[in-house]
Amino acid sequence: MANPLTNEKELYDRIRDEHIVVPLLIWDLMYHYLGDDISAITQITLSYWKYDQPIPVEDAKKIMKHTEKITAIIKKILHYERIEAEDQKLDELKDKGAKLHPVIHELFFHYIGNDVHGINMIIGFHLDPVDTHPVPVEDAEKILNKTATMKQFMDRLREATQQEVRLTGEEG
Amino acid sequence: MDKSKIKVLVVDDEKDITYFTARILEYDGFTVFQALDGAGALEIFHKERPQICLLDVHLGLSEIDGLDVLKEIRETDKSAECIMITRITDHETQEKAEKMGVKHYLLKPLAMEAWLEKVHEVAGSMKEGSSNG
Repeated sequence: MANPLTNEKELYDRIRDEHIVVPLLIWDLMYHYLGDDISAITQITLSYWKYDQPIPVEDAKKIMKHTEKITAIIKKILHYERIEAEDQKLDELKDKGAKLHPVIHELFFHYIGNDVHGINMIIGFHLDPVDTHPVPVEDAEKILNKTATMKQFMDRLREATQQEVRLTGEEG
Repeated sequence: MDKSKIKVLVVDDEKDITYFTARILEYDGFTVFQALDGAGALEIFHKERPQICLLDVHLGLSEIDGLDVLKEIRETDKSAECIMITRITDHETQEKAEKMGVKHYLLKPLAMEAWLEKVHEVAGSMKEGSSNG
C-alpha cells in the first residue's frame, strides 16, 4: 500500500467537517473504468497466487495493459480539460467541468496513483526486455495487496464523503 | 454436494475478468462456462443450465444487456442462483435486479476472495439433485 500521508487524518476530517463530496459523475467514472481494471488485475494475479504459481510473462503483460488503462483514466479524471472526444462518459466529464476538490485530488492521486505505479514497478521489473521472467509468488502477493488497498481507498473515500449507498442486499 | 456437479456460468465483457475468474473456479472444482456478452450467456444458459450465474449486469456494447440476461434466466429457471456484479453507483439497475429476485451481489472492484466465498456460500446452500442439467 502507498505510505499513509502524514496529514491523512486531517484530510479525512476536512472531508467530513466541510461536507466535501465527489461529483457523482466522477464516482461513476471511477467505478466504471477503475472497477473493471482493478478487478481484472486482481483476478489474473489471484488465479496464480492462490495456487502458489508464478504469473507467466504473457499474463503479466495483461496486468501491465490494465495498469496503463488505469493510469490513463486517472489523468483524465485529474485533468478533464485535456480530454479529447472519446466516449460519452468522458465527454460528459469535460462538458460538465466536473472536477475533484483539492483535498480529494490529493488523496486520490496519492493512493490510486501510487498503488498503480507500484504495480507497474513490480511487473516492469520482471518484464525487463533484457531479463524477462515470470512474476514470483511473493510479488504476486504484493500486487494483490495493492489492488486491495485501492478498493479500500475507494470505500473509505465513499464513507468519508458520506455519499449515498442504497444497496440493501448482501455483498459478498 | 460434489462441486464438479455444480455448473457455474461467468459473464463479464472484460475478458480477463471472465477468463481468470473461470480459471479460479475450475481449480476449485466447479464446472465452469464463460461468456463475454448477453447473447453468448443466454446460449450457454439454455444449453448447459448452470445452477449458478455470476453475472456482470454491465455488458458494454452487448446487444442484450445484463438485465435482459437476468430476466430471461429468472423466467426460465427460478432455481438458478444469480450473483449480480455491479457498481455501487448504479442504483437503478440494482433496484431492477432486486425486483427480479436477485439476492446476492458483488461490487466492483472485486474484493480479493470475497467473490469466491460468495460462490461457495451459494453452492453450499444447494441440495443434491438440484442440478438442472
